[in-house]
Amino acid sequence: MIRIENTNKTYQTENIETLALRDISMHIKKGEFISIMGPSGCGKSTLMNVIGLLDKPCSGDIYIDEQKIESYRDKDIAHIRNNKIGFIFQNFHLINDLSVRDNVELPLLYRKLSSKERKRLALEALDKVGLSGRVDHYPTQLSGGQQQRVAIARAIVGKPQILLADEPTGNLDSAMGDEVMGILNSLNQNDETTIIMVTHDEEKARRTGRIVRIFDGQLLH
Amino acid sequence: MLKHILKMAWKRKKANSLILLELLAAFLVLVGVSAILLHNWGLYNKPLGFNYQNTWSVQFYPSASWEEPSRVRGVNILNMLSQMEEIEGAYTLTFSPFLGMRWNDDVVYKGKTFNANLNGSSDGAPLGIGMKLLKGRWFGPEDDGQSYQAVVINKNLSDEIFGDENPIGKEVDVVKYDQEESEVRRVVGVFEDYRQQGEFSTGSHQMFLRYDVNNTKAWFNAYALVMKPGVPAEFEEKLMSQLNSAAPDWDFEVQTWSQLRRLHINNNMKNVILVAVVGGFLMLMVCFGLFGVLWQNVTRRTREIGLRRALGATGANVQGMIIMELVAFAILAVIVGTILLAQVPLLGVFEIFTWGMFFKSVLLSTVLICGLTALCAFYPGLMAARYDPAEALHFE
Amino acid sequence: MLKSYFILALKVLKRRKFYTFISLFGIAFTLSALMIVTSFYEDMVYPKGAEKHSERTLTVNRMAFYREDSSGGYLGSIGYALIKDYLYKMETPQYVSGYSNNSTTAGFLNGLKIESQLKRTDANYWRILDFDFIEGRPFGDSEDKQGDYVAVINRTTKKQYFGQQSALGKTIKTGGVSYTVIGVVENESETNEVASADIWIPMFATKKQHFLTNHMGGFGAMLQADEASNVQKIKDEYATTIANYQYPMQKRFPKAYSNAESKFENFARNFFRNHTKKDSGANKLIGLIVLAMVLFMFLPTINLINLNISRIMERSAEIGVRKSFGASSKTLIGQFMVENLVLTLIGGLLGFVCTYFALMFISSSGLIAYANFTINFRVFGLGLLLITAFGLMSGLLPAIKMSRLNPVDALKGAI
Repeated sequence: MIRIENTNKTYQTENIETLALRDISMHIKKGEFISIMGPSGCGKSTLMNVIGLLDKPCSGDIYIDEQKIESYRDKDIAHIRNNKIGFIFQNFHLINDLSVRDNVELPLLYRKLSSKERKRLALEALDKVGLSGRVDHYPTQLSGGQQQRVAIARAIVGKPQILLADEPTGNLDSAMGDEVMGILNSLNQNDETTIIMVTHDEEKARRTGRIVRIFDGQLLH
Repeated sequence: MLKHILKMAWKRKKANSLILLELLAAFLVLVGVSAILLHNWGLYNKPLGFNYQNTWSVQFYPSASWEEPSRVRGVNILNMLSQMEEIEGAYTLTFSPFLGMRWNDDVVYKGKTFNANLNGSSDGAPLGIGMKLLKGRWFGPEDDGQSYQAVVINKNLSDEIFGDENPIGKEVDVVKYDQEESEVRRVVGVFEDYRQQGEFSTGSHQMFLRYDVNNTKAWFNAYALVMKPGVPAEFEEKLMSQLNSAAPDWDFEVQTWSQLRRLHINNNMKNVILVAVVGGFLMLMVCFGLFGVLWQNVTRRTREIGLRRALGATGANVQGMIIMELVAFAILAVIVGTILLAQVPLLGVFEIFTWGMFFKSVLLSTVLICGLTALCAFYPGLMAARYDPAEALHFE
Repeated sequence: MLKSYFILALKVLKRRKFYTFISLFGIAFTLSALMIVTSFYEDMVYPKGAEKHSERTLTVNRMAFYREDSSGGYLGSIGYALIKDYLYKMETPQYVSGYSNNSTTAGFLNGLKIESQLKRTDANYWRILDFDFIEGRPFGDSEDKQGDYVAVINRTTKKQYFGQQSALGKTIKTGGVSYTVIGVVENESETNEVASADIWIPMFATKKQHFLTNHMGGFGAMLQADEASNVQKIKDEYATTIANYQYPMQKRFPKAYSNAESKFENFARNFFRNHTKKDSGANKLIGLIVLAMVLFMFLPTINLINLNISRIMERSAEIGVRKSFGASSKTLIGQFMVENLVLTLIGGLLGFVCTYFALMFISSSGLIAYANFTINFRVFGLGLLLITAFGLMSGLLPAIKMSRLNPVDALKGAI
């Protein structure tokens, strides 16, 4: 599903060059649920950004769905992100001025869909995360766990094959965290969604299929 | 997408209420300025109804009050002028255009009183200065020794007095301000117009009285001279010396109609330009202001923009959203402003702000304000489109 | 404390050059526009030059003869007959002067046409108005009554006809008549209708004598009191005079309306086209001007408020830090208000400079002949007042909004 080959990424800030990823190669199969672990600043987020096509690697190749990413033209990668990848963030990143349903519909705005179809898909996704009763609420009226479930609904509304979750339980207490993990697990098992999750939590990581550790921009095997 | 943007804008209306107010005020200013400009542009483009290019005006001031010897002298001068080789036609014409002079009096028809702008000329003057006849005929020698006195009127006045009736041959009473008795006049022709107050004047009711210079009661104080093409401005000095030798104790004032027209246009343009310049500066200021506000707005929304990019929005999507948001506000302001402005023609507060003017100026202002807001949002939108989504998401 | 506020304000403005620029542009433009209007008003109400005694001088320049039902008739300047038979006989004014409206006259010099504005006046004209004589003298009573062909000309006319040489005793020929120049005066702005002309000649220096019996058109009059407190007496006497005024056509137009009024009252009357009421509408006009100025300031003020709010939002993190370190709302508002006042003051100074150049441009462009608009203390004072009002208005709302900013939100910055 995802293949990364000999990928390097450096950041240039004034005079210092920081090496964020060093010659990383990895292969993630369809339907896998892997967690990426490592200390702060080790390059986890950079790796996620590179996989999510939010950041362009300095060298190396990325294959998504067996297709090599050749052009980082805005239009092309936006299309891939929109269709194949869903994002979940540590601090949810919901838009407070939009209702739950409108938040979930957000990725569909960038596809050619009728508003009726958008509504149907959004309700379906909200149903999956068990929030069909909160459709017309606003994010500030929800608990943290509920907010993250809205974010998950938003990530899966476009039926992507890949979910990228950046510390999805980091801002939640353990009960809510378990709830979110449960949803992710069921998505992985029932829908064969490939999930890559960054976490600090050893216990949560153990509930995934594979753990990848990263240190100083390198994979530890 | 539009619905989504409107929803966001509505939700953020409180935070953006002042921007809305600013756009509303800007829209009202735009409508005001464009109504003034359109009004004047419309007037400027209406036909004058005569040719000003080759015509000169000569006003004269006799040395004593008007008496028979003055009239004879005036007729002699007129004859002398018609025989000059540079002059195609010489006539008496009481009021040259563009001078700002007027003589208003009452015209009574079937017991109803109308107000008309009066002018008087010798035979041939209307045709000579290029006025256009619509109905009937000009007055001329055939009106000599008749029981009636002939007048021609413009279409405005004809419509006002006679409506659908045929005006030719109808008789009206003209009540002159300085006379006790009214005079009966017969309408012999209808002409298109004679915009005596010049290009920037609104429609007026014109009546030309026939002045028979050979009648002992005739009175006149100005000539209109139609020059042959190509007569230079220096001719004025020769003309002046001829006039002075013909009547050394009279004062003469010579002005070309082109000159008078230029003065008239300059005087009126001053105000129009002032309005346009002040309006332009206000709009420039509003544009700068909106640009600044939007710039900051985009910075504040960095994370939202990053999120949208992550969810699959292209840079163009984001820029389009920023532009459309502001334009949506502008349209909201236009709607509110239009409702407010509709009260003006409804109540008839300003004469020039008719329904026609209302639609024209509102339409023009809507296009302008949408264009201006789109322009103001273009660069901040581009800035937003260029955000690196990975960085934007982590922006604190 | 204030000094440190001030320095901080300058630093902030310097750092945010873009905001500073657009704010200054708006402030300077608005204040210039208002100050230009003010100096026009100033020039009208308190003219400089020859009309500087306007506070005790009234002018009469409009006469209306209306029908019984006031439905109109004649409206125009007064005729000389009124001046001769009524005004010269008035008792309350110290001086009464009659003058003709300007007429355009042309002279030729080496084939070139020179157009001038010609005014015929009596001798009192020179007593009431305070002309600045560059050379020579005005004409007196005997020259006026005998109708001597003498002329006073202004600086520009002298230059056109005689160049750098002295004009005294020379002959100027215009409108086919020759006059001997006896005086040269400074140019008078076209806006001073009574004093402005290029050539002044005695009232009777003309062969046309029929104006003596004319009741309509062509003339104006000034009535000057010995002191400002007697102005009202002149107004009253003039009203009685008009009530007893006998004129031809009285049967058809029984109502005569005319007023002896100050320049501004005259202007207001013409502006409202109000020729029959006793009240000139001067107060209404002042109200209208103030209202127009306030409306004009509306858009720039909102613009500045918006910019200020943006400026604050951009610094919400800074404000959050300050608040969490214990800065009170009061200090924050104070800081911001000082910042905004400093900004408006700089904008105001720029506005003064712009006004100065704009007025210089208007004066020199010939848009208004011989105009000489200046910024004086009154305009300056009003300008300062406007600036402060503008600064306070545009700063207060954003400052309050800023002080209410929740430190947590300010630090975090919601999406």
